[in-house]
Amino acid sequence: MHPSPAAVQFDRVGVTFQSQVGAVEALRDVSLSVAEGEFVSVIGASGCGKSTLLRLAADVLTPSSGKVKVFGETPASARRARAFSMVFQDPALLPWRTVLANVELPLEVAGTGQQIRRERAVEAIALVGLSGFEGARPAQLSGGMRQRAAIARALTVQPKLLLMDEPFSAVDELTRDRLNQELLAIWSRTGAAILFVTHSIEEAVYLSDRIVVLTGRPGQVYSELRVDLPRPRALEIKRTPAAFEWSSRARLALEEASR
Amino acid sequence: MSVPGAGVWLRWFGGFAGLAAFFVAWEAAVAILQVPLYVLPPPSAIWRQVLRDWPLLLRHLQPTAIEAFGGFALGNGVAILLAAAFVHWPPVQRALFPLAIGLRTIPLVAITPLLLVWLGYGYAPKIVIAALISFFPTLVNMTRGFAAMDQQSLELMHTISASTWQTFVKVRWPASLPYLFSALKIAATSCVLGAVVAEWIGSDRGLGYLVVAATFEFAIARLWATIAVTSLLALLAFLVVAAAERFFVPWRDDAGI
Repeated sequence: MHPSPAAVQFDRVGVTFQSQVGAVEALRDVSLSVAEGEFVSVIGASGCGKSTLLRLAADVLTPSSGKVKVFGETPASARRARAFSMVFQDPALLPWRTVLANVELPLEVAGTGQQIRRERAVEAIALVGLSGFEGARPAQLSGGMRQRAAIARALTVQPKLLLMDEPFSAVDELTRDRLNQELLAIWSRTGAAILFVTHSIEEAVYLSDRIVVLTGRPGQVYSELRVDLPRPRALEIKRTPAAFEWSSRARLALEEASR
Repeated sequence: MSVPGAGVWLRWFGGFAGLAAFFVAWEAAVAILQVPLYVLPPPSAIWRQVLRDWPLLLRHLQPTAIEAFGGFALGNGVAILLAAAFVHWPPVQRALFPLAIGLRTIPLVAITPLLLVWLGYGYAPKIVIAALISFFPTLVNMTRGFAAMDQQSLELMHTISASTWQTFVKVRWPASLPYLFSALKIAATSCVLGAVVAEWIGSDRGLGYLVVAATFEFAIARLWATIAVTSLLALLAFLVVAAAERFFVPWRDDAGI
């Protein structure tokens, strides 16, 4: 039997943008894979191409060199098979739709029947703790609640991979803690692999099986840390010496990588 | 939930108070300065004339309303379709936008006689003039409106494998509605004026014709009554569009646009 393919596989990937000031090399020779069900975070200095990495996997960008595979297929066919969902930094909810209608959007686009659509959306809304807000419009929600709705929207297609681009960077510290904890619960409940881009070292340590540290532009993989904190991880684990230890290791790696 | 607060009523009240003050000042000025009726009648005299001439005014209001509405539908419809084409096929925009601007620069008063030659004396030339006058603001607004979709929404629709059509219907179109209604509010009043100008140049019915006829007969009070009814028609069209906006763009207040 074949070993099942990785959720995401980057193979010597390079990306060069053509801009008005000339060619900008965003990523160089990046090889990285995320196993099925694995939680991998990417950290790196601003502008090092972390988001570019996600956009490659999401079929928003194509690499200039190298290969990207999502569950052994091209990102485009994985996208059409609805194998993954993307969660953006900005929740990108449609302001004229209610929470329920926003969450239903991917299924609506996929042509799923009304009833299944409704069931799955309600389920996803419950999973992110937004039950009771189905009829609210985005403007009536707090930043944290909007991001929950965006996560629910990502979950409705029951993806095997979540691509998350700094999803909690705009919420306050306490809300972020709570959302982190809930994300872990969702992750273990759904069994999806997660590729998570963040600025926060503590967040990466708390969430991840593995942390990938990128260098400054052009982004290259500097090192990988396998975080062996026991699971399930309660929020309190953030304040244990082991977590501090991992955070300072990651910080050191990031400082070296960004030099 | 968005409940129309005291602010809305205050705004309405403010609008009425402003109008009322204007008419009172007009009435007073005419009385105090003893302005002759043929120079400027007071609002009360105009209103009495409107009541007296009501059947006549109503008879001529009808064709004008039809032409204005027809031009409104035609001009805005074409502008919306063209703007949608512009957004999806940039070469079309590059090819046709200069032409649209060219159309805008043509003095309508000058081409109305030509349109009469081409299209006859019926509704058609008036509808075309009303359409031409509504067309450009809507084209410009909707070209912006359809492009107003933010990058992240576009990427979202792409990652959920939405078709171009789905993206248009579910995101571009609703996102453009605030722009559409800004344009429709302009068009609502200008299409009435377009229809009146077209009638003024060549017609035997409509408020524009009545303006010409009243002028020739030196029926100054009737002229003013016709002007008043024309203004009311344009105002009504504007209010209908504004009400439609409240109904179709209820999130506008949320977004604080």
